[in-house]
Amino acid sequence: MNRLIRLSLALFVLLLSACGPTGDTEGLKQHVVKNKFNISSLIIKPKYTQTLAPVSAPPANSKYYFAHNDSEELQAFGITDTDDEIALTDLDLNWSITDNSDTSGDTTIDKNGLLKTESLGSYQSKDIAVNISFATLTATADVVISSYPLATNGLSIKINDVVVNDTNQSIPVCDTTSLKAEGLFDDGSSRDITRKITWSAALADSNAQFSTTDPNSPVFSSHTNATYAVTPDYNGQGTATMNFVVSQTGFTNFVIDSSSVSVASGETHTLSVTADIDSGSGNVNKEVTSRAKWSSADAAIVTVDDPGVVKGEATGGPIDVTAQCGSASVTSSVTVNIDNTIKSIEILDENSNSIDNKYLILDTAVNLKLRVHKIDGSTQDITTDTDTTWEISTITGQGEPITIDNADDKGLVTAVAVGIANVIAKYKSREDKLTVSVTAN
Amino acid sequence: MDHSITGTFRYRALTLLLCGAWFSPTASASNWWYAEVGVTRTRIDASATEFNPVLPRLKLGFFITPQIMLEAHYAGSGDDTAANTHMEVEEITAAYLRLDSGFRSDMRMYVLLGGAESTLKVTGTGGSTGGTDSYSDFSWGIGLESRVWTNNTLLTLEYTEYYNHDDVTIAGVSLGFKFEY
Repeated sequence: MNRLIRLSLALFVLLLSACGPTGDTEGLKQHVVKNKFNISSLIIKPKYTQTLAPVSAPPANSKYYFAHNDSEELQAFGITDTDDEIALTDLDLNWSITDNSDTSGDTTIDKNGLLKTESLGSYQSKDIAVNISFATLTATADVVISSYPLATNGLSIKINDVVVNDTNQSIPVCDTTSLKAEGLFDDGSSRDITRKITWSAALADSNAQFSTTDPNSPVFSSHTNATYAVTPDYNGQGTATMNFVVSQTGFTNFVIDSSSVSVASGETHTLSVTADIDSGSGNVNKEVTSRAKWSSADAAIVTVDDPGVVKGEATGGPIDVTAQCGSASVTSSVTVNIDNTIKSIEILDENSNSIDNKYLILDTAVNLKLRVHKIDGSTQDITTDTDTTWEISTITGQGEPITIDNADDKGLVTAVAVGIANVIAKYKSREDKLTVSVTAN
Repeated sequence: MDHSITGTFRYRALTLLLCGAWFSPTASASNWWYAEVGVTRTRIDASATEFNPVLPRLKLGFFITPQIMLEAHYAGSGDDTAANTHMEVEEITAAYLRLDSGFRSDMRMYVLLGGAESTLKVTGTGGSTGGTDSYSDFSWGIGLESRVWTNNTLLTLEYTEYYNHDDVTIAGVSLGFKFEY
């Protein structure tokens, strides 16, 4: 009996030792996705550098031109029985390359579809095939790796997806203009090379906004009428210059959503502005809040740090907050009231106890705290709140007897000289005061 | 990588546990083996799709001590259809070291630690071809038993996780009738 048990245990240990996770989970997931969406075929597309010509619609005879010694992200899509495209993301697809050329290739593709093209050296182009398999389906894309340079005058700028030849483009103030770059190469191919472009723009201070945050979709806009030169550059191979003439033409019916608002001290309110903008195809009413120039007539009472976002800094007003697009402007009168949900604020010692005076020995420090008492009876620690500020007013002593941190360690009071000072804490137009006495020992 | 590290730890811990059981004196027990028949409602999660095949299950076990056992599970075939996909469990086999809490008011709890292999077949409901593959992994379970009728007959409710890797999960809830010899 004991022998049987021990034999069983030995077999069991052997079995467990072989119990690492095994099995083709990717295959299982792919089969489920394929059936779930009724995917009947696949296509491969480049994420960014689309080949515009010679054009062959995928999936049949698709051919993509990519620069040598570069990288491109490829994406796989499943085509459903209703011709919808399903992006096959979050799956480890089986990508591979077929290279039948005489030259040994260093072009690689990883499991995420990132294609790294080889340096062709003295060769000018090379054909390869990129393959993908998914569940029981396969697809192939023909790729031409090319070292041909940009043709002379081969760089074109596209505005709202249309190639423009006139180097002076009139655009309405506060409108947005989407830019793209198209390259004609010596191999005869045309490609969308927006992502490969380095853009520069001669912008007068903050009058114009030129956002290249998304390198595949740079956007130009301006709230001030002027002429702005925008220049794309493709790896030093070619440039082009486009002059954007920004004017009031096509900009009408500028409206702000609230002509007057009240905001509590320390609180914010977001204003928005709209306008009818004609970019050449008729008036379209657009929100232009983020593109307008915002200003406050009295920043001590109302600030506008982010477009349209007014913040009450101190009680008072009404203060004019203005949004401007060229010569057009709209105004909202902002009144800042005291926050009537607040009853009082109170400075506390490091143990959160109420105090009227604080005694410190020279070269010591204490973390003061600040508490807000609200009308509804609730309290809240606001020591490090962004609306809390700590100040010092010296009563006696040679220089300031204390320092107080208003940054990383808000409320930290350090005794630096013998004397007496007042610590004043401010929060949304409320304040409290504490007298601090510093002695030598 | 993370999974394999965790798995290695589990296997080493389990091996130590088994070695401990090997060298511990065998306790006297009135019963020395048992058998159970029941059904398992499985849950198979893959690509945000859940399948719930119901399988017949047979369990055999040996007592090493009154509270440590070795168990073998075999679950037969069952299938389910969801999201245009037909999921068939061809079989699940598993072996466990079982640790019992001992009876309290005719009930006891137990945990299972071991390994399992599940064989799945996936096809499209439209008749498209799919694939069959086996998935093995560390497996664990937790269960509750209650004596019914006699001291040797029990009802068992058990949760078992057979596979959990790379966003694919195979687990099951089982109800069984057990006899100890």
